[in-house]
Amino acid sequence: MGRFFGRGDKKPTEPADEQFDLSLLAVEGILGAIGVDPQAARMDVERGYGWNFQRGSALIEVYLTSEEQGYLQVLSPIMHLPASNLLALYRRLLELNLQLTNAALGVHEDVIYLYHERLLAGLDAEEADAIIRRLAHYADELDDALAGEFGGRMYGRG
Amino acid sequence: MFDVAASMSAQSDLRHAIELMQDGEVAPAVDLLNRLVGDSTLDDKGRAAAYVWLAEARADSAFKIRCLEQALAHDPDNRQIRQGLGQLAAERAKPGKLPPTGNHHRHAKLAEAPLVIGIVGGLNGPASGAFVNSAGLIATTSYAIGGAERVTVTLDAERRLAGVVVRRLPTHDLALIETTLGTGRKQSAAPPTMIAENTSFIALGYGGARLRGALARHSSAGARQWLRTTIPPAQMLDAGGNPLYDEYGQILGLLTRNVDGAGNALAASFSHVASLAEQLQRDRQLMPESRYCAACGSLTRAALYGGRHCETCGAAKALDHTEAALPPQIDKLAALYREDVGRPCVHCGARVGGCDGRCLRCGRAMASGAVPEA
Repeated sequence: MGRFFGRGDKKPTEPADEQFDLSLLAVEGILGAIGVDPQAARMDVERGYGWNFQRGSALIEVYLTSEEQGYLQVLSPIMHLPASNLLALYRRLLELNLQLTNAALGVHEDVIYLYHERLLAGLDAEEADAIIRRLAHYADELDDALAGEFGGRMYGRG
Repeated sequence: MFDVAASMSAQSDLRHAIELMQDGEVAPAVDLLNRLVGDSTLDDKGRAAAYVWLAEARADSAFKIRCLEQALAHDPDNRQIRQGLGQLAAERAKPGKLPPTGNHHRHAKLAEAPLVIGIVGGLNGPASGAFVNSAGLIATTSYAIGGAERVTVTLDAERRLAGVVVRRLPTHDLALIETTLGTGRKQSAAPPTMIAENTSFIALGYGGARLRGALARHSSAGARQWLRTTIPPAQMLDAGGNPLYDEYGQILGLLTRNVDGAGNALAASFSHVASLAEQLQRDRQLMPESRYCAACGSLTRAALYGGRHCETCGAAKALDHTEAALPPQIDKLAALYREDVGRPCVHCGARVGGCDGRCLRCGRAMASGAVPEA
């Protein structure tokens, strides 16, 4: 089961089937284009579709959901929060947020995530490709940099 | 397997570093010593010697003590190191022996403080300011300075000097700048109790601009550090710090970018500015190794313990070569960052404290009866 960040109790509003199907095809096509087998990368998710794959040192998860108006969510768990020096780390995350384009850093429980979401309306393959590539690039850079500076455990490592 | 050749090379480097230090070539010596203290091919006595010579690189006793502690850890039976450490600790503990606060660098003195000073090089354009004391400390606005650490102080068309920002208080919208120029006579300041409502004043901007105004009624008796003015910030002459003078030529305060409920600029009373300057001097005497944090304007001691982040705002600080060579003092940093005061989170064990009943690290409720998860 993926860790798609939902919208609370809001009832899902089905997007136009055509848009959702097009987006599904676009995401699978993009994954294929960046060397990821969409079938092998598929995750079991409650609603919609989910995929995960490794990019450098970062784990990337992509979700396509019909929740609300339907949207694409791309995220990457970066690292576990260290047990000390949190003020400095939280400040750095906010500083980095100002430098990122179309992506944001956030914290859920004790894990730092890099995150992007976008409504499906108007999403085309080119933009979805750019979103996934950019986030994968950021995640691959940031996990090493943050773990190096603050000493936290990188996500998925012992 | 022990590498004899590498060990001899490290010993040779150590001798070279010592020679450099003896010749007064501190920077290359420090670079070499920093490398040697982490060189596993150097034996314990060699590393102890490297730390002892590293201690000679800086004058501050806290740094020397840290180096000698490291030296002793590598060579615990060395009586000379232990003796040196004891002497340094005793000197630091002597009551009443406070370190100088920079006055020994002073080499020029003005007969009289100029009425207004120009400040250039801050984040928000040119500003004005005034001498706060005879030791060359200047006050302007925090708004004008922003994150700058050095500015140019202009006394008049011919006289400019470098100013170092030493304290910034964003909530007061004040910044203090240290110069090497003293003043022979202090500013004539109006006594706080004699500053009355409706007192008219002239605000001076560097370059000759003037603005007339008057003091408005205080909204609360406890706010004597602020003087309410009739000047809207849009009319201010520059980025602030304009000294206000009454009709007798006495300084009342400095115009800031803070506003009152009516939207008019507030001035910091000069007595308040002077008290902040005195507080700074006391802080620097009590914490001589502290540094200025340009991000938040406070004084930070993190580097002293090998920390890389300001304890007040968390901004990253670059350590110099000698500081970077020493391992962080985890216990002291935990105390400085206040991460040793709270009870451990029952879920994740972190002692970073909580907010709204939830752990700052894992975000889960810190209820006293909660059972830690496996």
